[in-house]
Amino acid sequence: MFALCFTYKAILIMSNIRLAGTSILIITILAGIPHIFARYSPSDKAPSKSFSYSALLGDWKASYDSEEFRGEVIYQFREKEGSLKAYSIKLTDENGNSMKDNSLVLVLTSFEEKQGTARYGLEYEGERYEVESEIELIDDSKLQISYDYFGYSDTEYWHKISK
Amino acid sequence: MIDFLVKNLEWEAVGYWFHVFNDLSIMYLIIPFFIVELIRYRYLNRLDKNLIFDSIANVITLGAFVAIEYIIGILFMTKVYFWVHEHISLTHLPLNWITIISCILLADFAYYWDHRMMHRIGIGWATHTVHHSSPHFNMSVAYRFGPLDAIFPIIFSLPIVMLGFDPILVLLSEVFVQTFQAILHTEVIGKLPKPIEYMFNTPSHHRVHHGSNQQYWDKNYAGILIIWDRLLGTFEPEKEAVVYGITKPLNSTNPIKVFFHGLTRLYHAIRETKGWKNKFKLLIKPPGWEPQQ
Repeated sequence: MFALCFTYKAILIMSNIRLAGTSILIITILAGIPHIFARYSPSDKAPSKSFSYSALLGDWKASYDSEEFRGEVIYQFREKEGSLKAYSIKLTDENGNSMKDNSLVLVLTSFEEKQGTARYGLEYEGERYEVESEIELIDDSKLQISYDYFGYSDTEYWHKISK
Repeated sequence: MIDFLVKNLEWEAVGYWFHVFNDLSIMYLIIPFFIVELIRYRYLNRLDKNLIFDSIANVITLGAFVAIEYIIGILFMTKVYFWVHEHISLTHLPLNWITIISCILLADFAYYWDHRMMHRIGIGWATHTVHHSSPHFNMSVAYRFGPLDAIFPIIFSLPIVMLGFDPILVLLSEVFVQTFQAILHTEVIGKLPKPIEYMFNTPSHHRVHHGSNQQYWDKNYAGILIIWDRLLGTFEPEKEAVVYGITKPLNSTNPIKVFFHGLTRLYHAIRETKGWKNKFKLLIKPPGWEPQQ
């Protein structure tokens, strides 16, 4: 009786291990393939450090006048983990109240000849959306960011305030 | 070929094609097909009051399900998805064909396990039994949902977001799997050519899943690909004529009764079972489990 019980338990455990093993293998393959191919994707290639890349480094200021937010935000481009990322570092509302911040808002995915693409994190009605955006360095002190997300499109201008 | 697969896609275009299949298919596929089914029922002299009221109850449960889904989504789930994507996810994947295909396949695999869990634990079956309780099998049954049906998939889709997939893409892929699965709820289509039956979930495979015949219990959980069942030991081909419904029939087309009967039955079972440990086990043990005397 004991042997029977033991054999039954052993089969059950082996069956579960087989199920778990097969499932993990399937998940690894299905999730691994897009990560491997992402290396070849134009959007995930590290931006080349041309002259314009370094031109983005530093602090930028943008003004907003929408229902969501009225005021100014100071952004800072930093080089992190092999890519260029922009963080919002200071928020000032229309009444002059300001607060410090350190939120990741934009990740540069490509940049050449003063133009490129980025993943831009937007907040709308308390929800955060990550949208593909196009960026263009109009001149050394003006950056244009435009995006279109399910019909909601906008263009922002950031102005350089320090290197 | 690789260049095509890794080429960046616009969200607008991707969203549009998902909209055409996920949302509009109800107009150009599901409803026309349901009308064909009704004509067939009429021709076979099977179009009776029970079938009509059963179909109406199915649509009402869909309304209740969508309402619950929206409340959960608006209250917190979308926030959780985006928080997870931002804070505990692998490198974010670019939007290209490889990512979309992988995400749909992962959503399909997640659907398999979600579906299997709903059949194999008491609380899962308490909600999913609603879908299986119809004695009929047609397009409207695909939209017969239980009160907690919107909650269980979350457990399985959040890990996909953690693997670097965009939350919106994950949600669209999940709906894609559900929509594909919906069109399998029909008796009109017999068996399809062998290669299709081998790889994909088909109306024949899904009829088996809805069978109350003992050899068909807990079989064919797949959404799109039946190979998951073949790989994980839950595949059963359609041989014997399928008897639809559940072993303890509901015998009602009252939408409120239909929607809540699983939870009501579980509640009664918990109330009648002695001991907190046993009460808890009713939630996590397979349906029909009873404490040993």
